[in-house]
Amino acid sequence: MNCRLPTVGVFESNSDLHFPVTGIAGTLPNSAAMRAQNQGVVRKLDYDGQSVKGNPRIAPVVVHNGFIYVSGQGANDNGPAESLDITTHVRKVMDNVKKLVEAAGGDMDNVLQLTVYLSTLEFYEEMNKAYRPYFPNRGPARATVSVAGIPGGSLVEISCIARVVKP
Amino acid sequence: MESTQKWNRRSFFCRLATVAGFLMRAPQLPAQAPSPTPQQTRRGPIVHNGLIFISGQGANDGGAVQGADIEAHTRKVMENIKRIVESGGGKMESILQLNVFLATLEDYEAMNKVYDTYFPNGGPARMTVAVAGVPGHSRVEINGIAAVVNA
Repeated sequence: MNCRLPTVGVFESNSDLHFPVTGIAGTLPNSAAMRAQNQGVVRKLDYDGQSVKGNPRIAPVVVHNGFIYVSGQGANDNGPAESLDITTHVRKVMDNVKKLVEAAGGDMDNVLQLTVYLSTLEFYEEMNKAYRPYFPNRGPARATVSVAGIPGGSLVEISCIARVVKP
Repeated sequence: MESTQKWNRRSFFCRLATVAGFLMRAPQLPAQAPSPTPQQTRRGPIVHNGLIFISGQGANDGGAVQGADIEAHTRKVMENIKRIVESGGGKMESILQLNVFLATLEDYEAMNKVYDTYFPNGGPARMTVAVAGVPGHSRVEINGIAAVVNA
C-alpha cells in the first residue's frame, strides 16, 4: 500500500498539534502515516488555531516541523486597538503575538526570535515597558528598529518565531 | 593501511606546498582545497534541516528588471523567490515566512496585487514595513524561509 501523501499543501482541518519525531511515513498504516506526515506538513492557522479559511493573503501563523512562524502583527490586526498611544498598541500587538503562539501550540517562554518595528525610535522606552510583562521569565532573541512606515496605521509591528511545546 | 599511507603522503606534500608557498611569499591555495558545495554558493539558497533560507531579493537581483514601477519590481522579486525556493527543493506553497521591505508605504496596495498572484491558495506568514532605504534602487526587497518538500 502506497501511503506517500503530499507533505505540503495538506492543511488539516482540526487544531490537533502532534509532531512525532520518528520515521518517514513510507509504509506505515494510515493514522500513523498521517501523524508522521505532520512533521513535514505546512499548517496555516488563524487566531483561534483553526486552519485558515478562504485563501488569505497572509496566514496569521504557520506551523512546520515544530516551529511557529508568526506574521507581523500590527495594532490593526485582529480587531482595532482601543486608543492610539504606543503602550496600547504594543499591548494589542503582543496580545496578538501571544494568542497566535499559543494557538499554534507554543508559549511565550518558547519564543525564539522576535523583531520589533517601531514607527519612530522615540517609542523605544515605552515599547519596552509594555513589552516586558509578556516575558516574565526570559525574553527571546530580539531586534528592534524604527522604520519609515508600517501598514494600517499601527505604531508598532512585531513578528516572531517560536517553537511548539505541546505534544 | 595503503590509504593511510597515501593520506599521509598527501598530507606531507600538502604541508610542503604550503611551506614552499610561504617561503616564496606567493599566495598559494592548499592542494586539497575543498570545492564549495551547492549549498554554499553565493547565488543558491542556504538549505539546512529541511528549511530553505531565502536571501533578501531586490528587483536588481538575478538579471535586469524591466520597468521601474512597483508592479514590475514585485514581479521580478517574486520570480527570484520562486526560482530560489524551487532550486532549494521547495514550492511556493511550502514557503513558511516572508518579510517584505518596501521603499515607500505608498506601494503597499500595488505590491499586494502582484504578490497575490503568486499565492492563489493563500500566502505564508508575512510581515511588511517601509524602510529608509533598499539597496540597488529596488522598490521592494523580500526575504524568507521555505520548507523543503518531501525532505
